[in-house]
Amino acid sequence: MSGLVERFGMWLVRLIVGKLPNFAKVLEQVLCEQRVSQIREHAITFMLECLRHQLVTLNARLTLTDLRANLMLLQPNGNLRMVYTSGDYSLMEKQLEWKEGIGCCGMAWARKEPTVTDAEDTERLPPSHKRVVQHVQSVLSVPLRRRTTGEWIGVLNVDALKPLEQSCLDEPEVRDVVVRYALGIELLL
Amino acid sequence: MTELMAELMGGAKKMSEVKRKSHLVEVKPGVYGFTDSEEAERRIRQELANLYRQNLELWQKIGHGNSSLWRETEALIRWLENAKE
Repeated sequence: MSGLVERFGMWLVRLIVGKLPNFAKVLEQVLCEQRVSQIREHAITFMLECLRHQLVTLNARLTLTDLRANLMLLQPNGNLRMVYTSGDYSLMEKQLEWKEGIGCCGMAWARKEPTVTDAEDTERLPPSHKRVVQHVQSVLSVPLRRRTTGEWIGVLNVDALKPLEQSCLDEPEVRDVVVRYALGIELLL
Repeated sequence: MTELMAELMGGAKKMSEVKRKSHLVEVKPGVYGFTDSEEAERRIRQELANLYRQNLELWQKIGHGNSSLWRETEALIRWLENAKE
């Protein structure tokens, strides 16, 4: 029975490819794009992991569990949302959307410059956001552009569960490392 | 002694705050920007461009890759060297 289904499937594919010559090309393109997308995901996640490891080596007061990194991309509705992450993010954090000017990512997006926030900013967030991210004590966000077109497409964020005084996310050396990784990630987007 | 320690600790805290604020600009309470953002991005882009340039020169010297790869790397270097608009 399964052999019959398999033969029917092959006949159907041959028929479609024969009648629609472009179908094979489109199918190949779709499969290729899927593979490229998978490779991109692995590469960006790996870079976020490397970024966290490098930042931890710069600051003896931080451990990997204190520090997380994520890449937010602009959504069709104009908000930012996490697409790639490294570290222990809850599902609610991953699903949260950020408007321009709200939170560190939103401020970096509005200013188009690296931006740092501390717990004082977390306190001022709208209740819906504060409830989800109130454990975050400091954040550094760097906006990203697409290399090919130059358009702004997202924000690279590093956040710490410790205050700025301990996380040192406001130090120029830390900012330089994050900007370097942001440029590297821009090459992949 | 305790008062002296507290004073010293307070002094140290103030010093660290001054150090922190000197390269930061407060955008609004709890939100800071860096005073040298543009210069830093330009510097980092140039550092990366130099690295890619060294790589490209080595590739061309040892015949690694092909002209297509070299052209792509040249384009990448130009993109890195272009300052933020």
